[in-house]
Amino acid sequence: MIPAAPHETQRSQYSWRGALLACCLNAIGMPMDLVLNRGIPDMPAWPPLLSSAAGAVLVIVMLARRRHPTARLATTVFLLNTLVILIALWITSGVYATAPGRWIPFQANKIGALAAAVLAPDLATGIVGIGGFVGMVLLRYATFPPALQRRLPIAEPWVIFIYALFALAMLGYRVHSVALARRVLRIRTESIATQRLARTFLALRDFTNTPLQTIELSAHIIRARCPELSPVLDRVDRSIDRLYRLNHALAVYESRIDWTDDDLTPDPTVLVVGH
Amino acid sequence: MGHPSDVLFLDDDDDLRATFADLVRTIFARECHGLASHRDLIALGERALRCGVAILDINLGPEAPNGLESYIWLRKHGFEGRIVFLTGHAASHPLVVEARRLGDAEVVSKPVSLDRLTTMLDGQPYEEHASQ
Repeated sequence: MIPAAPHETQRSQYSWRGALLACCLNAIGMPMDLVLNRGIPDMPAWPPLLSSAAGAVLVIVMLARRRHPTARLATTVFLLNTLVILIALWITSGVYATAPGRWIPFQANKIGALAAAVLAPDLATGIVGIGGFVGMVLLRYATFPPALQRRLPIAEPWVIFIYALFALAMLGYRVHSVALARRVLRIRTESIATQRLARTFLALRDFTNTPLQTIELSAHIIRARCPELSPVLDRVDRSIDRLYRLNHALAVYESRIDWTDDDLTPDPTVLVVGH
Repeated sequence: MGHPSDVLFLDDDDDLRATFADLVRTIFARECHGLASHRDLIALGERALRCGVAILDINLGPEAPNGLESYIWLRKHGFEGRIVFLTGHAASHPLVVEARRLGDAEVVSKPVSLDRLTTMLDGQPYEEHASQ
């Protein structure tokens, strides 16, 4: 199996963390609604409990897959989590709207839209999440009888568009920042790989310099002692010359290396033969 | 006994050391003291200091004193001959850059040609276009 590129792994882990946090907030936050809506007649307990339970199950799923997180899993879990929250809010908002006393409408949807901007795995999922919270408000409002609509405070439910605007701006900024961070990481990874390659090439060159020097000097000695071997040694010289040219070609990698203290007592054999 | 015509050759590669000494004796008819380490240089002592030319490898192996330390030892103990660093490392390598800063020592890259070797041993300044 081919391992994922570092930036892909980082992306998956980032998405996984966002989706996990969204599920945790659902599992912990929705039961709080039960405390807040105590005393409201006909307020069912099951929608927030169901949403919280679904969030808890999704948390378990995410934790079970923590060693192999994928962006697709994070997106799926995030959307499922958002869906169960919206179902719960749809039901409870209808009861809140008819309850006696003053209701500040769709607070959870406003917070949800902002949370989606911060926690969504990617741009598209974030837009869907924000759209879900905003769309539910508009649809729910449309289902209210006119008398109930008139009971809502001034500017409601249209204030949700301001939240949507802020949420979309936050989402866009975050996605842009993450993309920038990923690009920096990719460039850094490539730079490290190039450095490693350059070091290996130069180690290879340094490793061959001494044997080449030995061969060349040995050829001179043989030529001095046995002049009749000159034709043979000429071939050796030409072969050495070709290796020199390779040697010079590898010199271009010199400028690509940032030398460190580890290079002060180098052992080229480690890089070339590994021991 | 060391002599101003003698050559000091410090390199941790056994084959190159033996070959270089052989070449100096065969082609230049001069004595060559092949040494493997800084410790060998110190052990050779006075005889090393009387040589006319010292050719030092910069990298004498991992965790071992390098050729620059041998240079310092030679100069500190009154060596008056020519000192040439012979290195297989890149010109931008920190040790090579440091060797170039020493001023009165030359830095020559391996592999070195016979022409250049001749100028090194004859004490003539080397011209870049001569050979490489």
